[in-house]
Amino acid sequence: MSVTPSAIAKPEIRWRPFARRLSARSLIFALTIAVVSYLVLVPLFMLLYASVKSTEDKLPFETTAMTLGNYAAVLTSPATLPIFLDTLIFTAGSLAIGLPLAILLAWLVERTAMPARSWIGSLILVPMTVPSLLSAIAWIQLLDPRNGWINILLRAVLHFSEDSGPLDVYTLSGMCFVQGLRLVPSAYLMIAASFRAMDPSLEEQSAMAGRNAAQTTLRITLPILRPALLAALIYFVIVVIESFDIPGLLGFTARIRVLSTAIYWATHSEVGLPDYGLASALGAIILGVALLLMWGYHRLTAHQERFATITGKGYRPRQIDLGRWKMAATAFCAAYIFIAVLLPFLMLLWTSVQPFYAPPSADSLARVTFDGYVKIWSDGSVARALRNTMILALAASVATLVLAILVSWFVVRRGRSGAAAAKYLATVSFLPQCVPSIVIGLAFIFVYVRFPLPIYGTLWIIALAMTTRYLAYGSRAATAALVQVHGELEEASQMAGAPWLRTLRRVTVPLLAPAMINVFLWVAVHAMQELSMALMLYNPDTVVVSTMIWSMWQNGRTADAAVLGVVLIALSALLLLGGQWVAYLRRTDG
Amino acid sequence: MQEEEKFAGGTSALHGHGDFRIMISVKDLVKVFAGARGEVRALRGVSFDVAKGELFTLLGPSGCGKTTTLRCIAGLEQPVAGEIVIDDRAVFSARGGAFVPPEERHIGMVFQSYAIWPHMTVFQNVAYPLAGSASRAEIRERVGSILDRLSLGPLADRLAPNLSGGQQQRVALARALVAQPRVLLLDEPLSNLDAKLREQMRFELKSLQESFGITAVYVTHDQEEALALSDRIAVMHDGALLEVGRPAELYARPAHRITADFLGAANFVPARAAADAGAAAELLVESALGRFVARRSAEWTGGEAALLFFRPENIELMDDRPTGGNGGNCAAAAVERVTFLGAAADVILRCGAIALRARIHPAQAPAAGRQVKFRVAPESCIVFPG
Amino acid sequence: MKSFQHAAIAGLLSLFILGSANAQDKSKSDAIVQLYNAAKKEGRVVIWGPTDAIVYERMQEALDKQYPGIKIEHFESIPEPLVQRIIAESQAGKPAGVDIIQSGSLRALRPLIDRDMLAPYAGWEKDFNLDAVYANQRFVGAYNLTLPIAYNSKMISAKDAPKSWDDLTDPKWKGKKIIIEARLVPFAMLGTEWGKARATELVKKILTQQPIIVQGGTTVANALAGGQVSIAVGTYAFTIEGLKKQGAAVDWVAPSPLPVLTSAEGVLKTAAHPNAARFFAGWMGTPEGQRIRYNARGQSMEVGRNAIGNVAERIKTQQPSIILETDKTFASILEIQRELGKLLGALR
Repeated sequence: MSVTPSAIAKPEIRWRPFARRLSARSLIFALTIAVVSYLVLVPLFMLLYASVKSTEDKLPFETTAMTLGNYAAVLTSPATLPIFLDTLIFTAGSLAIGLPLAILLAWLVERTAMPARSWIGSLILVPMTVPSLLSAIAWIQLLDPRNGWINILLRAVLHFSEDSGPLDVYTLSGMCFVQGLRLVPSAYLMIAASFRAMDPSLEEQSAMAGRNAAQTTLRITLPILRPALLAALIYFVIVVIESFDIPGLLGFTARIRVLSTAIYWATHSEVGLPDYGLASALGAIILGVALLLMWGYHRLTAHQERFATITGKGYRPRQIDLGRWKMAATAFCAAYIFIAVLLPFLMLLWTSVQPFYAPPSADSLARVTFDGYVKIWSDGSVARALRNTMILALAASVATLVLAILVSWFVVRRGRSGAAAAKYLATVSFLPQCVPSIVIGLAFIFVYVRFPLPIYGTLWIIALAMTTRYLAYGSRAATAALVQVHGELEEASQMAGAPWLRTLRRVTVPLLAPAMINVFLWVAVHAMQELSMALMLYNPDTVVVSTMIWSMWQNGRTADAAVLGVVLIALSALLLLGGQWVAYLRRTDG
Repeated sequence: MQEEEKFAGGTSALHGHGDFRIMISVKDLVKVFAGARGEVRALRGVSFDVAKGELFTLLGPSGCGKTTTLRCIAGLEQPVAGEIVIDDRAVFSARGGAFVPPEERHIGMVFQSYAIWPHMTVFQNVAYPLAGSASRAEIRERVGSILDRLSLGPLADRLAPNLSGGQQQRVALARALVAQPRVLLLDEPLSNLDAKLREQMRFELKSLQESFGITAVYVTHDQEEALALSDRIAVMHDGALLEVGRPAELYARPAHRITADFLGAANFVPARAAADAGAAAELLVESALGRFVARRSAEWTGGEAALLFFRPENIELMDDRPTGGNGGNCAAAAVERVTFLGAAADVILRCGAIALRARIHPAQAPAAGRQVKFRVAPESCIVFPG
Repeated sequence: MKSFQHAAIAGLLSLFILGSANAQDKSKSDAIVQLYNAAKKEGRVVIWGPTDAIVYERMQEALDKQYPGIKIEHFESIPEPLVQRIIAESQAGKPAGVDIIQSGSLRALRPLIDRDMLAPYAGWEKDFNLDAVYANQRFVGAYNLTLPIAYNSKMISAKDAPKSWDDLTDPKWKGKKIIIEARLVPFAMLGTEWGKARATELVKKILTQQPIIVQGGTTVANALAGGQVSIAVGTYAFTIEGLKKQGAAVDWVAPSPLPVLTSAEGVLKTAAHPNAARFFAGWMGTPEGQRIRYNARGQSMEVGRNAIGNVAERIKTQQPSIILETDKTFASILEIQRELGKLLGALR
């Protein structure tokens, strides 16, 4: 067949200008950056601004004079160096205990055929639901060297003859131990989702090469989970540096002073106004640490195609049979649950039926009363507080979840937006974690008392503050989860003609669902017991359960506080169990 | 005629499809990645055209840029320079600032990992591209028919992860074809299958492509696959297109040494160019094997250092007749090893420092240790720059 | 005849005295009645502070009987964030809708005094006859919080319990037998009388006793009641009394000097219901208001003219020297507390 040149039409080139097309994706990208930047920059600005104001007896925005005095105070105080060293050791120690434990538990529950693992998986999360305020008294009663239950138990079991110990919790190592335990539920939640979504072929190859389960885990599974594990590490470093629960409970007695202790003294010494300047200067230092960590994280998790484990080829990882280690594993988990979950809860339960705390004895048993529960049932203000708490938790969870998904998508998939925008989003969404809650609260008061948006004095301002804070966790978890979803799964959807939103809806989100359920639950549970920001921002008609418990406790109504605490824990635990059940269902049929 | 001739093969390459048209036109694609140590030039000005109905293969080792090129055609990567026109529509042009996103290009793609969505059934996977563009009944019908065509009918309600590799691959194919695209892109679709299945699927793919009349761009590093399937092959190396041609031609008369080496077993002997020997295309070289007459490769630009190339199957063993050279290209060698492969014998001949591979019919395979004489026809020898 | 004259004079005199007293009383109560009428017109009073809702409920009942027509709206919260919000809001030009701000201790309201945001009222002293009025009539006391040394009566007898602050340094209390509230308020107050150096020395010595130190008075009290420790410092006397009533084996001693905090109320200049506020604040300080608060919560004025309750009784009997928190001692308590804080991790 011969064809003459003239018969061949020159292809027409139809031009299509592209750059300025407003696609749903670029619009939402812009919106995400705008919203996240706004949410984060408000408290961040307050932090940096306050850190250069002289705030002895003044609020940061009341003076115009700038000063470096706060930073100077930090640098020149003789207490600073010991504080930094203790903080370093405390953080490292807690993470060394908490993270491996969380990884081990996540591995046992998600990747092995350990008996009763779904129950264990749900129970591990319960400590998250206990308001830290109430757990203080429980831990003192449990861990006191002389009279603490755990020590009494250990002495009996190990046949100690002394009347003190073996665990002296009022030491740095004791603090690390308790703090490490406290980290486990959140860390477990973050890591378990990653274990769940492993590509079995990766491990099968290792198994075929003759390695046993432990070796495979160490050499194949853990390295591929690097982004998830690093994200968890970085997040919890900041969490430990910033949290005051354990230093407040144990640190004073142990004479260990950490950074959060210094911040506490600056903000809560009840000597009038908080010294926001000093607190912010310290917060700015934490911020610097966080930025450093994020830089390291980005370097170590570049080229994340390597870390994709959900490819569509295989999806459900096989469960490793533990053989003779089966019972030992279950026993280990049961021991953990007993110590970290059951005991504190029992202490709280006991406190709720006692007019004041006393160890169980004939006398105290005689004092048992369920009046508190009866009272709560008929107390209208409690019902209102519960309703407010639920609304708050729902609002914060949904907002955080949506933002977390969007942030993680733009960070992980990058697309044409480029690496710079991705790093910006990843870093910025993490920063609010470094800002002390009370500073966030002040920032919100300052901005929204003037803002045309009428959220001041409502539940929504508290929800917004919580979303700002919890975005750090949510975006870490979502990013770690999305890295595991192979990009080709989304590309295939694109090639099949689906616009961006449909790809997100039908491919990305369903594959992220297990991790997303976890984020939702985590935020809800934390929002239900969050105290510092609520205290700054609530009103008579936005009383929530956490502030109510706080008031009761401050007023010496320990039983009432414990009762309400038990109710809160029961509700949160129900929520957790419900969520885990949903996740379990999805797992078995999809 | 010129256009067709550019396709180096005329109409036979198009298997009798009626009208000749260029379906895909790629011009001067440049793509740069930010690598761990600075910029990486993944594509350095790649240009080629694909005719309608042809199965065009991009062949090369990993890192040569073939997948990147494919993804540029798909729209999953955006080059920094160049132009891509598909079916008379400019889907990318750096100069004109045009970029059509992948979801609007109406191209089917089969990924190396298949990218079957694990949370959906086979039916849902294949029906996905039709969402919103057809009625429920129509979708069911079209999906049903293509599933049947690919022998996936009984698996329609099975969840994707519960399929074997081969089944998943077919699902990926079905999904790529169901919306009747004009162009099909395949990124190493067979590399994850075992050898037997691979061969089977090879023919399956080819027959599908022909019967649907679809233009396909195929990426692979497996030369055997490329040779078996393609209408034309483009050999890529280090971000550039080396040469394009029909399989038989590329195999027998590669223009570049890299092509020669990549497309099949090859013997390379260091040599020195002597003089032009007769026909303009021929050259006389002095090699370690003696004087050989060989054709010039397109790559040859003159100079002394040369590489003499010929394929193992072109080594002819001569009887032990002491007749002298009959036109040269003879040499003597010792048989070092003979490996029986079933259909042929793989013979290693040693000629001094040089080891040569020969492929001999088993009946004529010499015994190891013997001295033999062999010749290679001048048409089968090619000279490349050394 | 003479006895009759004496009697008559006596009678007349007493009548006169009674009469004038009555007249005084009457003029006083007249003023109060006037204030009440103005308050009734305003109809409500908004009070923010740490006081328990139940206290206000009882007060509302009593008020409705005696002085009806005033609705109490209360917001229960610790004062620190409230003070900050009031300042922030007024700075933004949106004065908070609160009339009375109450605190658990006077110091918390200092920022409002510094910014002159409270309105003085002479009537508290004059008409309501209250003696706990501070800062040039800007604050009226609501109740006191006495900071004694508390002990577990099952673990140590009243005889062995420490009687003075220096007793706490006795080696027999070494080894987690003492629990102290982390903010060291009693010691800061001691410092106003003893001087910073002596107070700091005392704290340092006590710290060598390896005490348990936690933040939160309730945690401290519960640790004591639970037998975790033998001695507690930093918890309030009324808390101990309350625990005792419920059957806990706890008690307290009144060492000399005895720090006493003042919880006070102030009326904001921007109050929307100023008369109701003044009235209510004053009424809460009267013996009647005090009694209601005491019955509901166990808190009351524990020193001074209107002191009632068990704590007040014991103080009256034992007569320790009192260090009372007033606006005059703000600054020094603050300063000493900051210094002491450095022993436990404060940077400045």
